[in-house]
Amino acid sequence: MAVGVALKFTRENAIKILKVIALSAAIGVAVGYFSFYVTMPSVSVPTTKNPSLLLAGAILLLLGLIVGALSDSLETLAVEILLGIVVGALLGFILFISPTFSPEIDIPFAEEYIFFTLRSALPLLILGGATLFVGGFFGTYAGEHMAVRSAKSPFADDAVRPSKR
Amino acid sequence: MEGVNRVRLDARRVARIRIALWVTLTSVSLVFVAASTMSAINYTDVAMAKLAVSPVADLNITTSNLGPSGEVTDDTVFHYVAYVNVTNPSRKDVVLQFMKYQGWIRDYYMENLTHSHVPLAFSMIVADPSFRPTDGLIAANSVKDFYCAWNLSRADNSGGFEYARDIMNFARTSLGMGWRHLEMTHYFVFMLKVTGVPSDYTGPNSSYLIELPVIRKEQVTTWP
Repeated sequence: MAVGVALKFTRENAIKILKVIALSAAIGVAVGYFSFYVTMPSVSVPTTKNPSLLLAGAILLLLGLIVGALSDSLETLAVEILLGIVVGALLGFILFISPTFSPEIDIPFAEEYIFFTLRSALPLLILGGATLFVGGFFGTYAGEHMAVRSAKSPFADDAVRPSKR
Repeated sequence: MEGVNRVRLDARRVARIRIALWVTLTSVSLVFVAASTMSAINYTDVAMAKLAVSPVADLNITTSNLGPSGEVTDDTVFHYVAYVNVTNPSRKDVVLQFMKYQGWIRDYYMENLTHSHVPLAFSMIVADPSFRPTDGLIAANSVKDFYCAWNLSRADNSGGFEYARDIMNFARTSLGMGWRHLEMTHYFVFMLKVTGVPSDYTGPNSSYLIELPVIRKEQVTTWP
């Protein structure tokens, strides 16, 4: 029964899925960039000698707050963060091997890159995930608080289309 | 009425906050996409520079103060002139930090003594200069020439000079070979660096960051 409900394709479900994909992508892009920025700071943009882990953590925390506020529930948030980290790991890996995509450079793909990427970026992926979840937890709380206040309003629909009334 | 208006205001505010959050999230994501793209381009440019930059050295050796019959005397000086042509087809500026030369000469004398090919025939360095240009910058998509000259004499490098002198004189008297016809190996090492890429890292896991902007090229030529 539950599976049947979950698989039921409605406009609402489609919007929910799209929302999860959008939020995961936002997390993934940030995590992917930071995994590259922290391990290859000398060639990342902006170029830096010492990558600021504190700044990366603060941005991820803020991102977690925003994603949490926009998420429907804590369960959805967990799914979004997990998906986001997978997307981030993939993006980080693509950035690591980006020179091999250049037609001007003829470098065979080295399998060591996979282990190098994992070894370099894994601590950030784990810490980033935890930071995002902490931010997301408070963000979800704020989001639910907003939703409760919004639901109390007899003019809740007004908020989206205020010109109608 | 006032209460209803407050609730109505809250609902609108909540909607506005949600829209603002989506706009912020989209903007932040676009910034990360742009930074990731530029990072990939920058990294590719550095990798391209590391592969494509090619220094080529052309060595010219002349002598002065040879003996009356062409033998190498203690006053003989070997004049080395290296013309280094560096081609940089990449989109990054590179700097020639230094060039190192080592010259080796086949030990005909030892081969004659032992009546066998000496495994260490080329093991003696006859000249070992290092050259650091004052302005080693090679701009992106450009070619630059460097000129480097040094001498090999008894005063500069007595060990190397005497070794070369004995082999050359032996080859001339016993084998009838002039010094120009002796087998020599010339080994150049060029150290270049991609500009704008920091490399002064410390720490146990930072070797790849230190090596990242460094371009090390070698050239080995054997005469004749």
